[in-house]
Amino acid sequence: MSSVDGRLDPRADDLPRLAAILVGAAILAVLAALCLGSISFSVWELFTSLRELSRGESESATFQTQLLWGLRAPRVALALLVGAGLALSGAALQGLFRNPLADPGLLGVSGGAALAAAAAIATAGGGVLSSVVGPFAGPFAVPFAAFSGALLATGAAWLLARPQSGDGASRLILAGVAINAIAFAGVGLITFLVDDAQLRGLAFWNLGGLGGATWQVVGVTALFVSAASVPLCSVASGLDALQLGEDGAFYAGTPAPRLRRVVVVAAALAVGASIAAAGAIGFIGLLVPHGLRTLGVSRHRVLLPLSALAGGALLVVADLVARTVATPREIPVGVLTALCGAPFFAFLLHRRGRLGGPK
Amino acid sequence: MTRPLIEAIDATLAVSAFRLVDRVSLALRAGEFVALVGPNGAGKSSLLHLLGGARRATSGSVLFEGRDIAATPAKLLATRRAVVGQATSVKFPFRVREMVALGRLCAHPEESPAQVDRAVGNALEAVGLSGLGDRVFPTLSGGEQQRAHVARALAQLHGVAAPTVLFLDEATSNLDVEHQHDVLGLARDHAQRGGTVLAVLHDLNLASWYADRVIVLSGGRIRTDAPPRVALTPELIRAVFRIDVRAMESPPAAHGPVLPLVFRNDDRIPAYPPARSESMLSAKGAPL
Repeated sequence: MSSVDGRLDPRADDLPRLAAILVGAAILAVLAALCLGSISFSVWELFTSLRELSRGESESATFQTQLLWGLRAPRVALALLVGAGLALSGAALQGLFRNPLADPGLLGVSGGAALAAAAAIATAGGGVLSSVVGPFAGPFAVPFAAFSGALLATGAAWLLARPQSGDGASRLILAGVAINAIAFAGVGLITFLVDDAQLRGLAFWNLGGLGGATWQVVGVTALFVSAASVPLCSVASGLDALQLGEDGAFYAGTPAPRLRRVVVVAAALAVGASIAAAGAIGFIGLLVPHGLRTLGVSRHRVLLPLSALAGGALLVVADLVARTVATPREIPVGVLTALCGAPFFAFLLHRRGRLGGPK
Repeated sequence: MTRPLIEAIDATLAVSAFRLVDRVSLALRAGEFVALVGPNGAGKSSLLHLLGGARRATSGSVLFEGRDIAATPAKLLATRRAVVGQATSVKFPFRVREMVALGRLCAHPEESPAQVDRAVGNALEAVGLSGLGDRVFPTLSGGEQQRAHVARALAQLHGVAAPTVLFLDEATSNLDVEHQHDVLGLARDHAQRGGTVLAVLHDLNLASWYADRVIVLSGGRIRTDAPPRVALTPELIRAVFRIDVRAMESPPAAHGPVLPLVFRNDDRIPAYPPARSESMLSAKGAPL
């Protein structure tokens, strides 16, 4: 054996370092997001108010404490969860489709969610929808509709593609494209029909934002994102094997059809919950796993958790910027991620082209 | 005779009304190197996928150690047979070492990283890529990528006590002459250690040189299944491939034209492939 055979991964030293940097960045991002805003706190004030809160004096809690733990903390937590869910799903879907340009919206998820949310907004007060959704009516009608729409659209794409044999993955992509096209045509039609007030609601939904964060929303989102992340991380080595193609994966011991079911269902849950909680936030799911891959993280066992971490941290920062850069107004965070994400993406492409990397 | 490792009984693979593989019966036994040849579209790859378990026979059956291969778990199969396909591209920047480890990780998930490293290191050394383990896989040349895939298959089967099957699906098609012989030499080593090799080959000379048996497939059916000298007659080659060949008992002159010639490997001629002192082939492979 030659001397270079010592370790599986020559960057085994680098990976813990990268993970440590990402954890550090996430903690810093969360602290910054908690401290900064319309009213800023020092880290010390943060801890005093946390102590105040933990003593359970909720009636006597100061306005600052209420602002911090009632409004800002759930928003930061939601940003972490949504960013993690989107990036994790993006990484898994890119692996599933063997395509670095795959995006969580690919399965028709975003289209279905947008159409259902638009329909819910347009019919709000009409009673039809609220009678159907029962306990989810009121403030949860739109998120619930978006979540259902996301799952329905994915289901429709799945049935359309029927990826049981052969090159199922590419048929699934095409089916998702078709579903998305139909859904966004529907959104366009609804946009044309609704009044001005509803139009504002629709615009917010399509641009994304974390303003609706409450601990309740955080709890529901956490449930779905964690329910999705467990199966996704458990198929990590299968996703590695899938890079050899569907037959190659089978020959290596991982049948592709089961893998595909797990990834599609889990990604639809995580992305559907994310869109339901925060609207359509683009680029996180595409960019984060892509960036990590260019840093040399390829094995999904490492890529998936690091994507979740980096995606969460990135969305926390993006949301912090979105709500502070133009106070008292808020930039829709989806606009911000696209605005920053697209040039970064172009830079990565340019750099990779220059280094003569893989196409 | 020993029980076959893999056996096809009247196996047919049909897509709508078209039979890609038509009532094929054959047996692969431990220690055999079997070459599968035939014109393009003869159903060679389809037959390989049937025997490997990735496709199910529409009628007839394929058995792995006497059990229906469709009922054998993919994970168990993966510990016993590995497949090198035709130029498999990998889109993501996996390192060569990681790519080779893929074969090991799914088939043997219980292993420690050190055990995986050992299997990967051995496999890389066997294909002569020890120095390239840290390279990013998609930046390798086509030939190096193909050898890395061979290493992946070797790593997958490394250290398995029971007889294992190595499938090569035109795995040598985009390799240069030297590396064709290196890869097939490794495959022959595998057979000589008690494993089984089924290699889809286009080069009849390579088939003739390396195989114990040659199966000639045409239109999804087996035309012949016999030792090379018996199977690859000019008459059969004319009937199946529509070209005229001349079988030679000795190698051509050193400066002669490079033509499709068929050698007979009964008395494997030492001058072909040319002996190379540094190569794996002459070191362990060719029975000179």
